[in-house]
Amino acid sequence: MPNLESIACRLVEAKVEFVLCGGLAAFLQGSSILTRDVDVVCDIGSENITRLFDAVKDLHPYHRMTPGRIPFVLEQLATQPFQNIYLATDWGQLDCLGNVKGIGGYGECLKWSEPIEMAGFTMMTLTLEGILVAKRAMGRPRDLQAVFELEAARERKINPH
Amino acid sequence: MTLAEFEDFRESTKNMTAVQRAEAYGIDISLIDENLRLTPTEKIRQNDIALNQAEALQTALHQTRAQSGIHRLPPR
Repeated sequence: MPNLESIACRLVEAKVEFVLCGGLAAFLQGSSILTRDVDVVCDIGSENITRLFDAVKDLHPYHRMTPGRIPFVLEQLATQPFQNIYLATDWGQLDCLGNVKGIGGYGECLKWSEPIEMAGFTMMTLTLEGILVAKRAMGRPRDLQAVFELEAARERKINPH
Repeated sequence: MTLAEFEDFRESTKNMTAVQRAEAYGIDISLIDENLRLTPTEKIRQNDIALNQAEALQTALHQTRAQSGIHRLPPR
């Protein structure tokens, strides 16, 4: 049963250092396009990923991009480096990205982020400007539609209807 | 829409406001206005509700098809 809210809150509770990005960040900034996953950019290959693993380990996480639904286990991180980790869990999909196209890694994304309060937790999310940079760089049709939506949302924030 | 088409569209609508451009592209601005009225918590909960409803509909559709043996619509 999808519960993206709880996935995001779990990450904060586990003290994972991350920035929300992708469709969820765009939706939070004003896009009307619904999203099926939680996309975060974070430092992969550090103890941060151990915290991330702890946050989702009871949700039966597995690598959804690999054939055979390989379970997400911590030992893999020591033996094979990941640039991105695409997980499916009992509560929905969680994509952990090492980089956001057009912006860069976690450190760069942090500069393009702002705190938001969600469900009683404070978490960092890409700013509207940051998402616009990323969406333009991604350049897929749905990203370009989001650009038009977010530019309109930015205008509405300045001049409310 | 390709990136080139995107740029062409922007160029052809450069005298429009962002809201006008979005409407010209076919975006329903009322959905954006509605989104902007919500708090982040309300937004993610609305997204989760929509995902769960879509999943329930898909499950019901699969079950109906399995029971009826119909897997696709007949040709027109």
